[in-house]
Amino acid sequence: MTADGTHGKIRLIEENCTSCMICARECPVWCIQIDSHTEVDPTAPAQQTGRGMRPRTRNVLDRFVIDWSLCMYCGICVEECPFDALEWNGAHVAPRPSLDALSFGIDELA
Amino acid sequence: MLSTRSSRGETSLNKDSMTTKSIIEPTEWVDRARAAREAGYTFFDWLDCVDELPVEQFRVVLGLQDATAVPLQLECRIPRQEPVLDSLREVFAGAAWAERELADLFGIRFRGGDPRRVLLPDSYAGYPLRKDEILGARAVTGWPGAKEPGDEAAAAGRRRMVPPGVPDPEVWGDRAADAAPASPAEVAASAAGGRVRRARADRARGERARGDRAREDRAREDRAREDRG
Repeated sequence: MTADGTHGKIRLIEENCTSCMICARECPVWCIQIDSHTEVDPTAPAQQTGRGMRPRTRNVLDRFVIDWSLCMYCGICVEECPFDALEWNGAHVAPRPSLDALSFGIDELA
Repeated sequence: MLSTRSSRGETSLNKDSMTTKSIIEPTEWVDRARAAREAGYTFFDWLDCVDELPVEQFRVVLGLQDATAVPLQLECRIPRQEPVLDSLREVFAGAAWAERELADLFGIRFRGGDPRRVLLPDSYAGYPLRKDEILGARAVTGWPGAKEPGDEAAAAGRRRMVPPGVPDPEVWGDRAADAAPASPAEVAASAAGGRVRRARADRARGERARGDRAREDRAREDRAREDRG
């Protein structure tokens, strides 16, 4: 992990991500893909009052992929994330023998 | 930043706010640059251009400095439809390279300048830094940012989100055959991105849905009236 903010690999902090889509929209090279769905959130305080209000929902992140063959390490996604779910994390991604291997999912981005 | 405080608490203007800027006619461009050099602005710093769409002109700006790094900017407006300007390479040899770059990126022709490309391959057609330049591949590629959070079917109440660089197909790409080609300003405005009004088809669908609902409401009221009566 680089505390000095050197532009290298980008790390996803999954528990902070709310699937807001802002990083995917702001990325100038369209290298971020996100799938998500909404679920009723049973832990929401308003949900537990039992007063018959409409169900509280939250976004659940299903899939988060960065395609390193497109990423240009500009850092706009890191700057734009409102929830600090993206941060710089060490050296650039190492070369791979195929383009497919350069798409990293949630586990590889952690 | 217009001012910085010195350690004694005084303010001083930083050099950027003191930059002298002069607007020059294209016919005087070379003469005024030479005069500036002879007046002491001997350092060629940069030469750049701004596409001023929707105003149909390019603004070419020359940045010079004198021996104490005091900056001077000379600025010239040339028509976008015919972007021609005299070359400054006789006054500042280093300007030749910058002019080649502007020729590649904006399509400006510099009379007497170096005609070689400096950045783009010879096969490239188009001028990347013009505001109406389209990234054609993006018009046919799905944009990852088109989804809404939670992936609900295009949250009905919000205006849809479109990426920058891709104009509305009605403006460029899928324009009606009988419509005149869109002007550069229209194309540039259409490719700005952000939340936009839904396309006419979506709006029509929305209006039809509203019309259907209104008809259903009236039918329901009529039935209720008959039941009462």
